[in-house]
Amino acid sequence: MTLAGTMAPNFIAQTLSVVNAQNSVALADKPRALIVVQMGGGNDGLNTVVPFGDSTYYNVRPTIAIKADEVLKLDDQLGLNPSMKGFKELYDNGQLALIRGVGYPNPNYSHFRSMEIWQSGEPENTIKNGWLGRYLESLYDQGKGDLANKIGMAVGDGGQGGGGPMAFWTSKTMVLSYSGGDQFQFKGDPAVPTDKEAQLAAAKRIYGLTNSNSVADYIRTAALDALNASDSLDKIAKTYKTTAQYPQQNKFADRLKTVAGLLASDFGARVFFVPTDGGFDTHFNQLANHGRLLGQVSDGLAAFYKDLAEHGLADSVMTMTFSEFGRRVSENGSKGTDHGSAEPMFVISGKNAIKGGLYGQQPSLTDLDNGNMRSSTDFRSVYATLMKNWIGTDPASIVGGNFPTLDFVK
Amino acid sequence: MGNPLDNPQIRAAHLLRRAGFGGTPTEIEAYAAMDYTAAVEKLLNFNYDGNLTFNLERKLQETNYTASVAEMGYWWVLTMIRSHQPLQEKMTLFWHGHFTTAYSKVNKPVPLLTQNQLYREYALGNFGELVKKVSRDPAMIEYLDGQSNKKGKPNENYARELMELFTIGIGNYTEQDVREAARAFTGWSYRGRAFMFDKNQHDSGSKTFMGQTGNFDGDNIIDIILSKKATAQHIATQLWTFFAYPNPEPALVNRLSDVFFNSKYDVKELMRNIFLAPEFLSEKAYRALVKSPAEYVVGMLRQLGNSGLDENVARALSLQGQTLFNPPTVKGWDGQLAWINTSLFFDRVNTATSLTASRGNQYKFDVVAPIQDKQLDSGDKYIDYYLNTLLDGQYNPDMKSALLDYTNAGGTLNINDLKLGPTDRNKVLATDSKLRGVIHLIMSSPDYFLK
Repeated sequence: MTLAGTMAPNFIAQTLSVVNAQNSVALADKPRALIVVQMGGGNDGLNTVVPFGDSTYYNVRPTIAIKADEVLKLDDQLGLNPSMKGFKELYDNGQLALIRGVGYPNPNYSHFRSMEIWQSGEPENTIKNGWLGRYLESLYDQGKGDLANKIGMAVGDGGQGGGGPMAFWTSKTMVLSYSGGDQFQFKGDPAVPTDKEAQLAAAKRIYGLTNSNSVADYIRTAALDALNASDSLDKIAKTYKTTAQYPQQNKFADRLKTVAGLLASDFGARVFFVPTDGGFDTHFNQLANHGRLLGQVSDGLAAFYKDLAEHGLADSVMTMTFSEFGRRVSENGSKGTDHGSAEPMFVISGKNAIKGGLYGQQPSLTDLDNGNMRSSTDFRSVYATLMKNWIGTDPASIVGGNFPTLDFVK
Repeated sequence: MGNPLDNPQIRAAHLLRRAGFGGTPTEIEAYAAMDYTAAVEKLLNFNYDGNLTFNLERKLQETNYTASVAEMGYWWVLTMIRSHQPLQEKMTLFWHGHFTTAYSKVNKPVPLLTQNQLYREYALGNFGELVKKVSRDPAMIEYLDGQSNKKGKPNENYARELMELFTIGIGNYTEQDVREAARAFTGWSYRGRAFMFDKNQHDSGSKTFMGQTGNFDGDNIIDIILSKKATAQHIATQLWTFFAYPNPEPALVNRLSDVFFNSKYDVKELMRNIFLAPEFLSEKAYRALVKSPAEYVVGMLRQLGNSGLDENVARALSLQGQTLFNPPTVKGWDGQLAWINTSLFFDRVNTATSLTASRGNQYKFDVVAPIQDKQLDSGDKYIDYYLNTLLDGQYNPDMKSALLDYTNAGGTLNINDLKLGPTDRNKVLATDSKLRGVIHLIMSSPDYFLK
């Protein structure tokens, strides 16, 4: 597994330019990576990035508004939810870009359709491939199909009942799904451990038989990928060391630690999709859960970047968060919020790689579209920025058109 | 290569995998001997039995016992394994994935088990009546926030999913319809274990829904939804996709939805037409679907024997991506290719090993009994027997070579070595292990993952 040495040249070139420009940690052998964090369920942007300077916010949310003296202030108008101390620290450190008011035209308020839109990067038509998958396909088209399979990885169950995240779907390749732990290996009869190798050899032979049934062929491909990766992944998981203090009882943080171990290894995975644990669909009694959910994301990513820094990787790993939609401006009758629009996105990296700060426009709470905020930045602009300025590839075919880029990448 | 489903044995095995959880060799034999239409009627015509096997619900009502999600799942898995009315359990599983409700939100076993019994009772009942019952079901009301859907402060959660997922499908209603339907369901609440209509919280004002205006309540909304042909099309498509193959042809959907609509949403009539459709027995349908973890595990246990199970069987389903009584989202389980990824692959095949290699005091797979019953006195006969019973005899010949080579890898396998005395303990164990390994390898094959 010597993929690092055969990584796509554009990754390497970009990486080198960062090293030369900043003369910081040696990154030449640590190509850039992208982490996509899914906050499924529809995250309430207004209680995440709180417009505490706007009295309308307090008028329309009489029971669930976050008090001005509790928010973690970013400026004299906006502050983070009090549970997001990790993000506040990253922000103060210049490592966090907050993009406000993100969405797409004619927002859809179905969890499933809107999640498809964000993962496919295509609001107008229903298509069956994802934006990250199209990036992998572009590698395939450059004759680097072997890399395409290895660069992407889904870590943790996306809560969609299995499969892989749609963001990675392509017609040509499938990425590994891996959750860490000791379950990612073929187990033989525990009573006769010496038989395992013979059984594994037979299994590989059976999975090697092509099958005219396309579903069976899909299964055998997954089986071979799993068997081929299992030993390396197990070794990495068992030998990875860090002094970073990841939060306990936080599955999302466990996943990030797994990602850190892989990034520090020569396994070759560089584009990760990591779902948070638990849903943000806060229709009811929101205050009881929402802070905990945000804390999980904030604490987990703060520890992750400490870990990356320890391994000299913070400046080569960029993380993006998204949710399928935001929520309604006014609270509902259940101390919660119904599905809405315009959400904040967070992008995090090392301070030599990102220009931290505020991007996009904070949506108005009074100029509404049927009770919903109007977005001002298309999510495909964020995707395009990451593809063009971070990964160094032409974004047009990946995001389906020319969307203006933002300048958060240094 | 002809259509395997022209063979009566394979046709019976196919029908039992789809309408149930797979047949034992004896069941397949019995169904193969019947006329196909009679076999379908036998599966369709069961009597409602609310007291299947070990009735956990009754236990819960007698005592103050609270069940974990694994205990509930274990009870249901046993019911799936042992029911003589497999289609009733299969439909219950379908409705559970359709009208989802999750333990993670409801947090109480009794409402979920009561809901489960509703799905069992309405397994092949009238869909319109079922929608009205579900709309009054305490577990559902809790799950989709009906309790807090109040006059003047509607909560749209149920109204949206009622249309998007439970009935007419996305694209057939507007955001305004969602808001108006939510108003119509205000005050639909529950107290204790029963539905309660809270008149004071009901918005009795005029609503305009799907082009009609009136002082609608929830039932009026449901009636309007049912009056649209798109509802019949959506449900017929979902049932076909669950039972036959994905992406049904438009002409087929039209045919089935006509039957469903004209029968006033009689699910039994629709299912009869699904099983009797020529497309259901077409080559395209054979092994077109990926078994869900419930189907995979219950099918294995029906074939390997199933005494001495415990709650771990429900946990095995969870590892593979299907926690019964706790679907991941309100859409239920995506199914098909979503059951497969590199991580879930290991969870699947390692579950198979834990069953085939189990010689324990609790769950135990008896490897010897079939050898004696069927006089499988050579490795070759043994492999043939299991390729026939587990894979309908439909397999790549190279797979059999791989299995033979595996059994002979440490010296030619001699089944009679199983009978050696205690001084040859290691030889007995090595032979026993190879025989278990053969079944594990077959159950780990892509074709066995399919139904």
